[in-house]
Amino acid sequence: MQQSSQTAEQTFTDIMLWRPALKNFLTVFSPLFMAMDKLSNEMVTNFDLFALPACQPERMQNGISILADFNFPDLAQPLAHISAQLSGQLQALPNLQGNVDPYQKYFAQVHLSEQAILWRSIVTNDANILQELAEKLNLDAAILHFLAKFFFSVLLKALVTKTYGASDISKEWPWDTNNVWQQGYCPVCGAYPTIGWLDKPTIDERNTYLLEGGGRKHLHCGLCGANWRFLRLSCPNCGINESKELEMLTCTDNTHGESLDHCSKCNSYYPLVDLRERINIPHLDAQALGMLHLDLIAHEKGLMPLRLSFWNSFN
Amino acid sequence: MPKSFLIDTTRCTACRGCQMACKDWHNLPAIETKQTGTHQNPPDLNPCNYKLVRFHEHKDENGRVVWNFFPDQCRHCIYPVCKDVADMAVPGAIIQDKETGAVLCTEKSAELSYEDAQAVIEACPYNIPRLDKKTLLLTKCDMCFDRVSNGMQPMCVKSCPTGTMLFGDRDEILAEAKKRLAIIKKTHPKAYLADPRDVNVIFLLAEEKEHYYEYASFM
Repeated sequence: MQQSSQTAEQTFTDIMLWRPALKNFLTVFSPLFMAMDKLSNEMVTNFDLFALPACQPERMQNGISILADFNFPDLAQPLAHISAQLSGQLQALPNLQGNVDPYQKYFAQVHLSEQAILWRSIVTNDANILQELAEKLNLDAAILHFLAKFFFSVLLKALVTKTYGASDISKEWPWDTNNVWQQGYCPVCGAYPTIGWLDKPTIDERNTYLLEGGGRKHLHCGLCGANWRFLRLSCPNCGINESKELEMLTCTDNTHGESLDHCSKCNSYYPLVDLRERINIPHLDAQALGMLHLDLIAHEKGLMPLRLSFWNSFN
Repeated sequence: MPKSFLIDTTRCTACRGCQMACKDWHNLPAIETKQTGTHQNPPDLNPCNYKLVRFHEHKDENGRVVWNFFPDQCRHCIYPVCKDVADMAVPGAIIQDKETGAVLCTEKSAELSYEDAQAVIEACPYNIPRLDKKTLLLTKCDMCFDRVSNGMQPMCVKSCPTGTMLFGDRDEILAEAKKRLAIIKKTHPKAYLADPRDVNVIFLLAEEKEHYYEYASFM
């Protein structure tokens, strides 16, 4: 059955019903997530965006993501547009109130050479790369990094949609064909995934009596929105594929198909949602944020998130 | 958005996984049963079986035996007659959840007199509710309300290995039902959807209802 994914707001509403303790936190971010999706979709049609390179199977089989050595054209204009459009939602974030203006001034005209530094800090998820730049601009490196991730994410999602088509949970992406991409990081941007999911079975008319598939693992990149298939019993971080090293954390009741998959060899983890349990297909970025309660438990157990995000960094 | 089931009987193999999963999730005890000459077991819905795969066989115009399977359950009517009848005696004995469309028997149903409970049972156009003589409660499928209100599939749908049962938002299920009907009609020209405007459990039947079960559809 062709099912449409929920909007971020619908997923947040469900999660707030299940976990009222997260309500205050999720209510703050819901408008921002909604605005980011809307803006990204608008930019696909209303903005003169360039296309990303096509999927090259030979490169990808060697683990080289599409944007690994890609020279971006000048992104000043789209970044300025995104920064201006998200202004209201960012001003509403409690810790940024009254503190966004200097950053918006900066993003209104980012120099080409600095765009590359911002990009490197985002893909590697390392705010320290921005330290020197932030000092020069008299800005806080952590906030600069925080905002740049949102802005680049909106742009990348628009670029991915324009180049490879809209992100649909049942979609076969170019890199899924013949399993050319077998890495734990994103085939497009190279970032680690924010969440994984197990797919639903489908009806194949050629097989009258049995459902087809179901339970295959996919990973989702919160930065560019790409999904890719990944081995069910393998760690995306260290690549170990011994089942005794791969463990799972889940709630004892009302799991909603949610768990954290973690590797006892490298101590990394990522949230996972089993869509076979779910009626609706959640908005994956909102779903990852709504599993904060499991992130807290992972932190107590000394595990490290595969992709550090603002909600799973507890230091 | 109300939820709906699509039950495409042309894919059902009568494995009865749904029947067992329902019993398991609701923690319903085993009951004494008897062989009545078909594989339909137990012979009818009862307070310990909210879901039952009904069996029916007949010969087609070529003399070939056709064996039909019908995973029977509450249809969660859009305007539930059982609720209207129960409300006349004990308001709240049967309720309808606005969010999901689930029609639910409550503990207040035990306050219904025997006659009123029988009136509720007889009012159902699909012959679904059963009276538990020990607890005096009316019993039937509850759409796995505890699971569905937590965003999870009903147990029967989750356990179905053949794709007979689908569950989701009503508009998406209706669209899928029409799509599947168009496919099935190519091989079964008499195929139709049973009362899709009136119920939230929409059966796709390959032939007339008498070849499945007397109460398979109302219209």
